[in-house]
Formats: sequence, C-alpha cells, structure tokens
Amino acid sequence: MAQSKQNLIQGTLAMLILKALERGSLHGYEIVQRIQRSSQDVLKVEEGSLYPALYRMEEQGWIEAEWGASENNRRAKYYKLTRAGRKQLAAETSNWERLSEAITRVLQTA
Amino acid sequence: MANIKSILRQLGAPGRSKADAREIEDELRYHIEMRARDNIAAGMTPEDAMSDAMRRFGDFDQIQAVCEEIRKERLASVMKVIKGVTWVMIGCGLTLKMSAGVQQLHQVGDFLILIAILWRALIHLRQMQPDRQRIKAAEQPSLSILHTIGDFSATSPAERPFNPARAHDKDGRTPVERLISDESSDNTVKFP
Repeated sequence: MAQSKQNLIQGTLAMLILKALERGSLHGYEIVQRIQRSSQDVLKVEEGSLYPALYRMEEQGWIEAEWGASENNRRAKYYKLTRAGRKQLAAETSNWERLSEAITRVLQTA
Repeated sequence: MANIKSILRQLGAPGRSKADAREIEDELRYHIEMRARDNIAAGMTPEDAMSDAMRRFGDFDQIQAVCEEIRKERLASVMKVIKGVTWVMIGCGLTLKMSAGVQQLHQVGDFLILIAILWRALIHLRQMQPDRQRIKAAEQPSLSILHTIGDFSATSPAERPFNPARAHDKDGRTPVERLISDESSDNTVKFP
C-alpha cells in the first residue's frame, strides 16, 4: 500500500513536470515556478527534490536536456518533452482524470 | 535515442563521470542562485536571500549525490547487457578461431575477442556500480513532495507563510512572473 502510494505521488510529480514542459523548454527553477504559478501557489514542489525526478524522467526518455543560455546570459540546463514524454503526459492526464472522477463519485455517494 | 546517446557519451569519454558530476553541481547551484536573485528582488539582503534559497533547496550534497547515482544506476543496468554481449563476442571469436581452414575467419575471431576484451576492460575501469543505499534515499525526497501536495487542499492564502518570491512589484507582477514569459499563462495544471 505504501509502495503504491509512493508510486502514485511520484507519477503525479512526473505528470506536473511533463505538463509544465508541454509548451517548451524550461530549466529546473522555471519548472518549479511554473507548477507553483499554475496552481496559484497551492502546490509547492520541494525545490531540491525536483532534480532526482528530472533525472529519472530523462533516463526514462520522457524528457531531454541540453545546456543553453538563460535570460540573464547564464549557462542553464533546459529540459524539453520528447515524443515519448508527450505520450506519457497524455496517458497520465487521462489516468488522473479517471481516478479523480472515481474518487469524487465515491465522496459524493458515501 | 537519448539513452543511447548518453551511453555512447559515457563509454567514449573516460573523464565523463567527473564532467557529469560538475554539470549536476552547476545545475543545482544555478537553481539556488536564481532563487537568491528573486529573494533579493523581493527585498531581502543578499545574505538572507542566499540563506533562504539554500534552506528551500534542502540538502545540496545529498541531492547532488542522488542525481549522480541515478545516472550511474541507469548506466549500470545497460552495462550488464553490454557485458553479456561481450561474452557472446568472445564465444563467437573462439568458435571462429577454432574453425578449420579459412585464415580470414581466424582474423575475424581475433578481432572479436580483442574488441570484447577492450570493451570489458573499459567497463571495469568505469566502475559504474550504483550505491543502492543512495538510490533508496532518492525515493525519499519524492515522499516529502507527497506531503506538500497532500496539504494543498487545506492550505488557504492567509495560512501560507510569507513567500518573497510572491512579492509584487509596481506592475503587480512577482519576480517569478517576470522570469516566466507571459506566453506560458495558459499552461495550467488542472485539478478537479
């Protein structure tokens, strides 16, 4: 049970990261800000924890990284979605919507 | 494809592990510096800004180590497959060498054995055995994200601590909003 809970949340973080990258390349700090901003400051990703997740996703082939210049002319590592990442995002979004609808139905009836 | 590129890069460059470690460190440091910059823009002193940025980031050394181990873990699993391939190459090479007659087949056998031995030696030198303890630790930070995300329904704006990154400028934008382009405003994460 604990394992599945952990998997659920890891999957959720991955989904949020994939969603943040849907519109283009971002570096890690921008990803954190994008998630926070999009959720109107409700969700807060622990900043350091983002990077292990990004590395796992990169190894899974969902995202690709390359170094580039940031808006302040600093060298920054930018992540972007791969084709596999887009598929994964679609699958995770669909699963999430199905799951949340199911939970909502249970809460409304119980 | 990205994985194959990454593996070839690792195999082709003996000093790559150190370069990877440096890149990971650069990336994490960049994050902290960006946070500190936003903190300063929000009115903090440079010392407070850096201190807050580091506190928010968490254990730098552990996170860096975890990222390095994730890289190594993936490569180690691929290395196992490659080691198997080298054994097959050695087997084929020996078979060809022992085959009667054709000199060219003997040479191909020698070549296969030589490549396989060099390949194995290279893998051995790379010492890509991941630290399982650290890999386990890699899962822990994600759990703390669970608590953060798990709390979201109970959090109201008034309850949240002051966040300098949310301080507004005269245009009504936060430092974070200045960082992120306006084009991204439609990119919302939907929650039911």
